[in-house]
This record gives sequence, C-alpha cells and structure tokens, in this order.
Amino acid sequence: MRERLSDLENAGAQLIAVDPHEAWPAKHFLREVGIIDAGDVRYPLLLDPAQVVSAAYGVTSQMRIHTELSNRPTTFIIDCDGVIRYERRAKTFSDRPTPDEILAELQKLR
Amino acid sequence: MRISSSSLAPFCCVLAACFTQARGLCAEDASEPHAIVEAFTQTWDEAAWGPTQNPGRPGYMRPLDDAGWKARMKAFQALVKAGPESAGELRRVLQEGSPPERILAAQVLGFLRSKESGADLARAAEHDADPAVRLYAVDSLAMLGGRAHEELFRRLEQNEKNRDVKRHLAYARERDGAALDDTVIASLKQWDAQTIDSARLGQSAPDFELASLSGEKVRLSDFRGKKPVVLVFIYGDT
Repeated sequence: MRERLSDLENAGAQLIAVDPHEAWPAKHFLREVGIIDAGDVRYPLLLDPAQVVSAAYGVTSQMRIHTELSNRPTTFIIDCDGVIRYERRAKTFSDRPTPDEILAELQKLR
Repeated sequence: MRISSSSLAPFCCVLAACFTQARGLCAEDASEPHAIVEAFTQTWDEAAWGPTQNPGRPGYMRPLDDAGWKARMKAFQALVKAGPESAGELRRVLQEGSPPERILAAQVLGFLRSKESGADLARAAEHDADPAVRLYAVDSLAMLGGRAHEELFRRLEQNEKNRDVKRHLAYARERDGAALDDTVIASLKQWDAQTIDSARLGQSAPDFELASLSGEKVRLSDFRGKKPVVLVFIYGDT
C-alpha cells in the first residue's frame, strides 16, 4: 500500500498504520525497506507497544516466536462518520487486501 | 461394577469445564499476582497452537478460534497494575513455569522495569530453551534501560541461533540505553479492558490516540467528517 499512497490520497482517504512495537524495531524495519529517515514516512505510523489499541480492534500480538509467517495483518476502512465499513482479519500472512481492492472499497463509500 | 476410565472421561471433562469456568470467574477479579498467573494458565489452550506453515521455520501459529488472547491481555495488564508486588512471583514463574507462563512473565517484567529482575531476565535471555522466552527476556532486559547489559546483548547476538531472537538483540542495542517510556506503561495501566475486541463491522470504530514514529499525536476521531481512514494493523499474532 505504501507504494500506492498517492492513489489513496487521490481517493481522498487517509492511511494509518499501527505497529505494536516501540520506536526502535519500527525504525529497524523501515531501514530494511530503504527508509532511513522516519520523517520520510508519508503516513502516520502509530506505535502501540502497550497493545491496547490493537486489543480493542481484536488484533493480538502473542509472540510465540516472531516469524513473518505467523503474522496476520488486519485492515479496516472507517468512513467519514467513524463507522467501520470494511474489515479483513487475515487468516494467514499473505491474506491481505491488494491496493486495488482497498481503492474499490473506498469507491463504495461514495 | 467396574467403571472403565473411558466411560468416566466425558463426565470428568464436564466437571473440569465447570471447575475451570468457576475458577475463571473468580480469577476475573484477582489482583494477587499468583492468582492472576493461575487464571491465565487455566484459560490458555496450549494444545491448540499449531506449528508454523513453514517447515524451515520452527515456531507456532495462533489458533484461528483462539479465545486465550483476551485472558492473556487482561493478565498482562493486571500484573503490570499490581506493580512491584508482581515481580517476585514473576521471577519464580520465569524460572519454573511452563513456556506460555515464562513468556508472559518475561514480558511483564519489562513493563515493571524492576532492576532486581535484571539478573533473572539475563539468565532467561541466555539460557531459556524456548526462543520466545529468550526473545521477550531480551526485549524486557532492554526496557529496563541503561547500558549494563550492552556487552551481554553483543555476545548473545553473535551466538544466538534463532533469527528472530537475533533481531531483537539488535533492537536492544539500537535503543541505546533508553528505558521503556512511562507513557507506554501508563497507557496499559489505564486501558479499559471492557474495550477488548470491540471493533465491529457497521459500528463506530473504537476511538484512540497514539503517538506516531515522528512523535506527532494522532487521534482517529480527528478524521471524522473529513475523510475515510484505511487503518492497517501491520503485525498481528506474531
């Protein structure tokens, strides 16, 4: 989605990412994808190390061991009235909406 | 009449379920550290955790119908709220508990920021047989702050075989002696446990305010009436 940010902006939507870590792991991950300066992230990358927001959204972080393949990302689309209009709670690592699917869901809100 | 153990089994299961439920109800209000850990253990279904789908990467997948995470989250908060009083019990659990108990103990000790736990966490980070316990012990040891364990992190990073624990040893070094922030601990203590798993399709999104990586505070409801939000939780179940 990061690569398609301008499409999302053109659709009038705001991307917000929530990371259940402290700043150091978050910066480490960004460096791995080539972002050296955290200021270069063009969307709010919110830190939730107490995992309280994640828990409210039913997203749990129970590290048995931190493997990418046990990661199940979750996506919500919240409309202008603050109502959840779309959710995708991944069952596997690769179970996530494509940018096109997200843009199509945003179109439906119009 | 001879009663075979197999004919008793269903009855025992029902009895065990009632017992667990009753214990669970009492434990909901438990504030004493030992009782909190006990309550967590009662609700944790270890057998439901399966191996990861990648044979080359040992580890566990959380069961899809897992209900244990809520009790775990509540135990996490309750133990942190109990404060220094929890530390003694958790240091014992870190030594003697089952793997899920040791993982929880290692995680909570970081949030308690109890310097006295340093030696216990260092021992777990180096010697625990379960990589997840080592990983949390490394995180928590780093959360205590200071540079006392820098040399240990460096040495363990060289010797650690598990790739994920190795990564966390790198994070521990990169935080450069910074302790876990007070605001993180406060947000866990103040968290309203009633809001757990409250996000539902077609309903109002639970509001929140979090700090971004660049330090700016963002509140979800600030976008209300302005634009739709695509909210992505980039890690889960890890």
